[in-house]
Amino acid sequence: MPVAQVETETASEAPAARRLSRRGWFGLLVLLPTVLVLLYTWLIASPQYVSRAEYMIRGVEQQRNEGGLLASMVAQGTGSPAQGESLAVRNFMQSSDAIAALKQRGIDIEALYTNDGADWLSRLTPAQPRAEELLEYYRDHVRVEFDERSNITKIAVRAFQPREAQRIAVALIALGEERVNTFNQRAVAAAQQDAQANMAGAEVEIAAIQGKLTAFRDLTRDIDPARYGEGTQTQLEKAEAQLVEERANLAGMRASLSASSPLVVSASARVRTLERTAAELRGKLTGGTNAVNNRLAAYEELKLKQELAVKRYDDARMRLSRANDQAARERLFLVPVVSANLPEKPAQPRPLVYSLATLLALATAFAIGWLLLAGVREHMAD
Amino acid sequence: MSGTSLARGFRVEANVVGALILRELHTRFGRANIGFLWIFGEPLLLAIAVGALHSAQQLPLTGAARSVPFAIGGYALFIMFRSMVSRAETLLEANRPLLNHRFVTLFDMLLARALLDLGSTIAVLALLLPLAWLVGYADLPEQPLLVLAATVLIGWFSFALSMVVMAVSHESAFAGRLVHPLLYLSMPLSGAFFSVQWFSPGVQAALGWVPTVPIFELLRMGLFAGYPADHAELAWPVTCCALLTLLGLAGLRAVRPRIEIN
Repeated sequence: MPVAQVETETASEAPAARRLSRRGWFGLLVLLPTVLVLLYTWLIASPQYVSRAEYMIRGVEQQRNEGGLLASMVAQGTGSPAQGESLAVRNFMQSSDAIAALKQRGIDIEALYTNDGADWLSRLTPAQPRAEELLEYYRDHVRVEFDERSNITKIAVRAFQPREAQRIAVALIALGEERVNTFNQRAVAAAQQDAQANMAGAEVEIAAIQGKLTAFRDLTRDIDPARYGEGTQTQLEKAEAQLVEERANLAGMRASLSASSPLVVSASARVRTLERTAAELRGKLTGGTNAVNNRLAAYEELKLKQELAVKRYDDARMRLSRANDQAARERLFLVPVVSANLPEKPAQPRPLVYSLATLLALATAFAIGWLLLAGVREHMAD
Repeated sequence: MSGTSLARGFRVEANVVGALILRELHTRFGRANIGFLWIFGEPLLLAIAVGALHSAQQLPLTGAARSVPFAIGGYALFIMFRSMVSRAETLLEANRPLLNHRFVTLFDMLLARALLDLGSTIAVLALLLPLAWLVGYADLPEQPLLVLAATVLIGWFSFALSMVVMAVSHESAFAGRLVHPLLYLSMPLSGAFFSVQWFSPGVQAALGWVPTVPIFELLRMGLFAGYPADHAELAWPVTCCALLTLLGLAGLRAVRPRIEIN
């Protein structure tokens, strides 16, 4: 006997009671839940409002054009400039850090969502949620999405009161701004630290050398040994020129006058004096520990050190200002695109949509189950 | 009364399906040499070959994704899908005499094959993934349960689709001929061999509508630590599976009275 025949027979022979029960099952498993969902969403569920805001994080100047075409091409591949920071701020906004920061600003997420005013299915239960439960609920109600293409981050906050939703959204953007400023400060600090340390070092060095120079001057009682040396040198030259002249003079006199002649005696006395003066001057310039040449060497060394320290100081100052410039150029801003709105129409619940979805899902499941069971029933016929 | 007879129905059906699985093993692989162990051998060889091809490749993926488990997982599941769907068309021809037995239904035949394919795929994955780890080409799956869930979901999808294919190809031989070309076309689209991350946001959104794509993403979430969960939304695939199941069951029911047994 063909199977087809068997099946049509069993179908037509099915007693009325069984058909009724099938309808009963349909009512119990599909219609009843649908009606419950409809009643709940229509009558019991508290309205929930969504406040939306948008912002973007960007720098003062959209970097680049440094390094020419190749660099700009590479930069295109790496996406928008402040992408990393945008993602970081988004992650922060969806963390328990954000919940804590909101609490500091006077918005107690936990108290807000466990509030008795809301129906028991959509409010946060239990009344004292553990941190993970709170975070999960929070993430479900505060959505932060970053769009890589437009570089815009969108916030959607769902709450039982329109004003609360708006407040949270506004506070989140403020927190985001704080975060961005923290990034900036870190960047500036990192750039400046090195240059500032360099500059401070150079300053200390300059001061030390200046101190040494002063001490040197106090000790030797001359402001500038170089100039002092020059003066001595001229004196010496003058004395020597005079000495040569006097010697020639003396030699001339000796040729015509006797050695005891008063003219000769006085001339030879002048020569001796000049010789002594020249020797003295020469001694001042080169001989002994305190001679000008030694002092000049020490002085010049100090002078050179001072010059180097000044150069180092200048360099450090320039680097610091360059670091400041760069930090200022790379400074990031959180730019509000759309400020948080005050919602008027509740986004949830939507009784019709939910009930329809429930009906379709359950009806499909029921039909599948019924077909499967019908298949099984084919096996139980005697 | 009705409860106990329903239980009897389940018992009988389980016996039938069990018997069909054994029969399938014999008809497909015979008793020669390693016999029905070939059910593992077939996907095993393919997956090893593909894994070897990809072993030197570096995937542009974040997280701890590696190319060999990527290829093995994708191929194993896709082979299961192809095997279930492509054989659905010829199943009726091969097993027509069986319908002389009153207890054997089309559903039972498809279910037996589906269970066989599902079981062998799970076994192959359970064998190959640790093997690749031992050889050093893979890390152990991050969340084995997710891998299992993805395998079962693809199995469900394939089974549901195989019911539809069987019903449709019985009604229209032309439609049956289309199954194989369509299967080939589905290969690049299925998501078995790419990651959604590789595409631009517009393409990603379009790919999200291919029901198998999020399931393969789920597979990779199970395989790799740190694989992003962005594209593994399962609501749509599950909806598709449910609707296909309904369609398939209804189709089989509609086709059944019109099948000529002799």
